[in-house]
Amino acid sequence: MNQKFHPEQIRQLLNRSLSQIEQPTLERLREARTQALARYDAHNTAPAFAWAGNSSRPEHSANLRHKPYYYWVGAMLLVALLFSGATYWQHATTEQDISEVDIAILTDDLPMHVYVD
Amino acid sequence: MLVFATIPKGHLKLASHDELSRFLAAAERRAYKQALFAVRDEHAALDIVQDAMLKLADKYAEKPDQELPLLFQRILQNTIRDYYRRQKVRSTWTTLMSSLKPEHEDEDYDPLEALQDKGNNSQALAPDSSLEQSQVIALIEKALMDLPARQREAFLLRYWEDMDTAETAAIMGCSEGSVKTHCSRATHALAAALKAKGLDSP
Repeated sequence: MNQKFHPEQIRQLLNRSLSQIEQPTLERLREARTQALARYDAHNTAPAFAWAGNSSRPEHSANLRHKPYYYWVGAMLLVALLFSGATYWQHATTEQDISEVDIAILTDDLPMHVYVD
Repeated sequence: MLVFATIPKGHLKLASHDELSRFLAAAERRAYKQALFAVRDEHAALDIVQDAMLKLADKYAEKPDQELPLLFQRILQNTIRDYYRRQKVRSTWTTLMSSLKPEHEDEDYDPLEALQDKGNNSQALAPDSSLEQSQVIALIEKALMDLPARQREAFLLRYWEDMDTAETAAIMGCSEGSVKTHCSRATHALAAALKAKGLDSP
């Protein structure tokens, strides 16, 4: 071979070949990029589950430092809502039990387990 | 997991959405070409690039943006290798199943039509000084596709992706000496392949 082989020339030609990629292929690459970025966004905006300690990955805890504080407010509201719901349900169940016993006394139909201390 | 000690910790900055977007937009065409050289199938190459992008966004996007090129290359090369493994398993089963059937059931089959004359390369040897650039590119791409996988990987990472020897070795999971050997062999094989096509130097 008379001339020296230059990888740099190969590199330049390969770079030029990138402009020859057909439009449908470029469109699919763009779609793939969009999906990847959507995955990134979903990953970075998943709020409460990581805070509850459900994630074992260290990057989650590192990422928390960069979250806005309103995620914390949202998590606190969620906890308050769950607590109030549980309290209401428990209260309603107790009231229902008492009313059932009252009806049984009035109808003289008390079950045996009521007399057992 | 890769460790890149050359990046000073004081300058570490997590990749933002825009940085990741810019990086992927800049890397996607070369990544597609690399996958295409490796698997020789456009749809499979696109799937490989998409898988690599999703893995990067899913698992490593919170890494510092300086690490993205190496991480993406590592993921891309691993995804290509996974494709090879799947193809190998598939072809093993296909070969096994096809060996149970007669090879040429068609009565019109003529073995002379399928016979290849490997010794006759008189057409390919004729050099043509008026080769258009696109033809030269096609020749180079064909020569790259014909390289052994590790040589092609090393050559493209070193000379196209502009990685240094240490980075290429980290991506390929081998020693720096092996990278140099692969690159040297790839360069010689490419030069020989292009010379055989009448192209002394691109």
